[in-house]
Amino acid sequence: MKFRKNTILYLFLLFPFFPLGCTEEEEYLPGLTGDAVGYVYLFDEFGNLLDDHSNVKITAIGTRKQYDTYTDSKGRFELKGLPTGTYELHFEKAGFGRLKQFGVKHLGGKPTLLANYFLFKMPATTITNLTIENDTVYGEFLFIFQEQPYSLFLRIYFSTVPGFSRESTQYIMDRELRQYDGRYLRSINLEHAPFSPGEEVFIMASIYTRRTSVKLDLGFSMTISGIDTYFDYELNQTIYPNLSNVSDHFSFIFPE
Amino acid sequence: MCQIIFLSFFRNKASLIAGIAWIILTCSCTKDDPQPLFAHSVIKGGVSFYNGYPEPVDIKVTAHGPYGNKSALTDSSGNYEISGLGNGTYELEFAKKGYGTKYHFGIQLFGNNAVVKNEMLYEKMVDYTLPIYYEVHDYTTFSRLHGDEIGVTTNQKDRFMPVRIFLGSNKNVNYLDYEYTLKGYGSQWTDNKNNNLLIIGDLWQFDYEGGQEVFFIVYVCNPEDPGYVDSYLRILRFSTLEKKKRSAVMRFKVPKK
Repeated sequence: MKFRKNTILYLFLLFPFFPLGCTEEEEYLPGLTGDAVGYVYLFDEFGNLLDDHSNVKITAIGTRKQYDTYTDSKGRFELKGLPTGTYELHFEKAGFGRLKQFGVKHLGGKPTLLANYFLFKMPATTITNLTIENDTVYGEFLFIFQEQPYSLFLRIYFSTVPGFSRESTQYIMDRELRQYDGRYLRSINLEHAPFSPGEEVFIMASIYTRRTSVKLDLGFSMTISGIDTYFDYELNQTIYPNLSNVSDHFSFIFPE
Repeated sequence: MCQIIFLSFFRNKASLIAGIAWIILTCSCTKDDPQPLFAHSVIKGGVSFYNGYPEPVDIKVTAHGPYGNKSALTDSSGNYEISGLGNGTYELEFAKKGYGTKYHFGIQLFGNNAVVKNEMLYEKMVDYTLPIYYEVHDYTTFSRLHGDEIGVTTNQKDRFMPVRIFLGSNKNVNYLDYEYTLKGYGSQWTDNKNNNLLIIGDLWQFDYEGGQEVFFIVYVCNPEDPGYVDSYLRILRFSTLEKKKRSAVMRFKVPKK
């Protein structure tokens, strides 16, 4: 009697645990995770490096989940325990243009070393005048601070329709205007513009900043290259994150 | 814990054996390192020593990754190959006794990659012992010093001082937390006790004000070692620096121009 009771007890104890024994499926595609480390550098609207790169929010968007973190004052950020996958990264800080990066591969294992990312302050400078004559574009600006930069990047929108909006622009040209004798100007080639000689063409522009490398002084000198733009596949164009609002409209007569 | 409690209910041998068997069954299935299905990637390259000698044979190159570590030794030409690596991100370590260990980070392997990583190793100053440091001087207290130099008296009667100096504004300065770093060197002349001074020179190149107090620490380090940038911390690291062969933190006032 006692023996049978014990047998039943043993079976009762052992039985539920047999399935738990080594029948766990082999991991053919292991669920790897890993950290990802990167750096964000902040610049003013003219591309001058700032001292403090803290509080930039980085969001990593995966297929199932989103992860976020912030930079420290050196611009360093770390995403911890990120599963293997391809991510979309967003970089945001109030007052700065928002940068995105698509198709970022993270394999897991040892930490992934991400690129350097550059964010620029939204421009406070305004365009007070814009003219095109003799194959040259001239710009006049109102700078909020004393500083007069060596150059300014302009995205110029063209249309034959007065008061046109950015969305309905007929032609776009990007030009870096340089300071020369107290004025900002640059040569401009309108060969491919869809306008006729003698036609009145209206223009307006936005200011943006471009910078793809910077020399860091970290106690030693280190020149790094960084990502400052991204290609938007839906809009089919390169996005300059700190592109300002458009200026007033100006006009010129399209040359012969 | 539960197992022990259970065991206490069994008072005879047979049931005890059964109890132990039960424990073994439930505890035996620990989770191992993940194993990759495809493991066809390769990391290979060439390793050399600074100055080109001795023969760069038997340098151990190790790939640290998500499936554990895998090593290879260089041949007499310094070539190595680590194969059969699965998908993932790896770190590579180059090591040889008597030389500074170097690392490469963030190596991504996927599918059938072959990645080439070369490296050069620098000798460690294994035979050098730091001297005792006595006093810190500038040109006002030791006339043989130049205006932009600091000299530290030592008990060393030899010009050869393979050391690296780290400068900082607080007394926690060390090789991982510093503002500037420079090579130290021994003075060409000796003091009245026939000892050479450790010279910290060219101080006006740094962004310090005249009269500012600066802390410094000295480590044994190969003077030829140019350092490498640590990808995670963005600081300059020195593979031949010997963490334990260091001085106490000392201080000086930056000489005025």
